[in-house]
Amino acid sequence: MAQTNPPFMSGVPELLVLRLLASREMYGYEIVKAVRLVTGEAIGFGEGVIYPVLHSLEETGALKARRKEINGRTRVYYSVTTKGQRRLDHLSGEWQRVSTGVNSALGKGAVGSA
Amino acid sequence: MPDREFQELEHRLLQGGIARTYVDRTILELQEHCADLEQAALAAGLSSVAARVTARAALGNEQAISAAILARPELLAWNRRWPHVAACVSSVVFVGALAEAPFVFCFHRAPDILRWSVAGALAVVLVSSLAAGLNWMITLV
Repeated sequence: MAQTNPPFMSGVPELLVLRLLASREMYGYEIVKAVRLVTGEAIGFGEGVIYPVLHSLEETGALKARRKEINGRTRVYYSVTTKGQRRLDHLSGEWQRVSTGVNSALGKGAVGSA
Repeated sequence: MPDREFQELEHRLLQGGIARTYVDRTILELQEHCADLEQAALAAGLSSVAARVTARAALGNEQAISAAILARPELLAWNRRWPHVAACVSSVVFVGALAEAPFVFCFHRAPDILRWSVAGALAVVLVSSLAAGLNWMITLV
């Protein structure tokens, strides 16, 4: 039976956020900058929508947040939990599987059109 | 995003049933994010007005942000996530409060109740004494 792949459609922001936070803790603005950097600005979005993604991951236990006062500014830093690391592994695997499938289809399309 | 929009966003999220914790955090993080964007724009050589406009545009409009938050049921307050449980809990609390009400009332009115109780007791003693006295006198006569 073919596997379904909801993370392909809805899990991309989560995948990127978890991947970036797996290396070090960051706050929202840093995460957005990092996403732009690592994706070569291929993904465009209103920066404010990063927060529901972060809060949702925190609510499900994939991230933990802590507040830090830095130069009179309040920063909320996020880091990946053990559960988040497992979710990252799962999403990465799903992405690889889907990506391989799409690449295969594109390759066949190129062959078909030749 | 100007502060008025943050207030509108806060109001819209609370109306949509988002947990107060996440509403407060979202507003705080958006304000800080907007300030970071403005600083970056100023550092890039933009005027303060242009920096503000650029920051607001990059952050996204209030509708898009609120839609993204409201689309996540896991961020709802517990009473919106489990309305039946909330109804049961609120009923239990209401019945409990109703039963507690006389005690709470008495506790707050303790000095008055004590004063009236003493006055009542003294009145009973006085009337009883008078009645006993009268009865004694009638018996003697």
